[in-house]
Amino acid sequence: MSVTNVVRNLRDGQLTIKDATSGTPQSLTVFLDEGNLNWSQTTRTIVVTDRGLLSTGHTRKGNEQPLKISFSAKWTQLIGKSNNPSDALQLYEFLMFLTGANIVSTSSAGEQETLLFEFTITDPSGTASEKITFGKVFRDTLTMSERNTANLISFVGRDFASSPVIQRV
Amino acid sequence: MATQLDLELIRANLFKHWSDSFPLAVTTVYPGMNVDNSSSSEWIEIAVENWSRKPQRTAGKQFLELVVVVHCFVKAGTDKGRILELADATRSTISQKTISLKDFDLSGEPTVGYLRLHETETRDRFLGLPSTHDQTLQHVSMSTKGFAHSS
Repeated sequence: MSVTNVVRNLRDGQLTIKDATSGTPQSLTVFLDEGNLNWSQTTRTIVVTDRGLLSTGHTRKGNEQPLKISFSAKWTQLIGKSNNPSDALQLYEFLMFLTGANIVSTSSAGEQETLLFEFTITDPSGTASEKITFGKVFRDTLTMSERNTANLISFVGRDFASSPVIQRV
Repeated sequence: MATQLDLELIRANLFKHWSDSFPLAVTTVYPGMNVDNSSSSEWIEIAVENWSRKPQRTAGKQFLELVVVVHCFVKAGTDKGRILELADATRSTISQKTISLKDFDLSGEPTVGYLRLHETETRDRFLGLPSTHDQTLQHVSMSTKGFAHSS
């Protein structure tokens, strides 16, 4: 499969959030996001010097760090399915695991509740689109704010992995 | 995939809202209309002056910012406050209004998006007219920013 040199930008991305409901996971594609999805991967390294010298020192791998991920989106309804089972699932209730929406965590029982984030970047030339999967994303902060044009939901969290899984689609 | 919001669809819904809701019996001149105002003492002109799209996802819901401009004209007469009656009626019709965007070409005229209008800015142009123009024409221009988005 070939590669392309077309620069990707926010116009090419699409974020879909899924849970772990057996059979068909509940899925929500975020159509109102701001195009500011951001993730950062941190690597820890233990540096051991030999009496202050690097030349005779060595390194060791440090602890793995969960990657940080954030995005924001315009909000319409905050609650849908959790209020009425026949209503569509909404972003806020999905991220908050609200009772009534029957959201199943992608982590084991007893662990922090997590969701799967699937970020697809469509190749503008149509050749080498990619899907980036964050399998166990937990929420650190959810900030709700009012704006002139559209109110915003801002999500900040971490994925329980040091890096995402990237695949061609 | 996002529904394409045609400019014509947005404008048609806006003008229909205006036509249905404007409370005064004043001739409205829409873009492209040829109207002889020689026998009219007052009229209103409405248009969408500016459309713009901010950076947004190709596959997301389409957001389109726009500016609705209304010009109110009254030939100066004994009622010097009439021009502001037209301006107040304009504000009540479009300021802070949310208009469902219906696709009139489809059966059932489904709602395909929404037009949200913000606050109206009003400017009295009367004193600014240069001497070469008709000094007896009162003119107020009103602009309302807003945005349309697909649902």
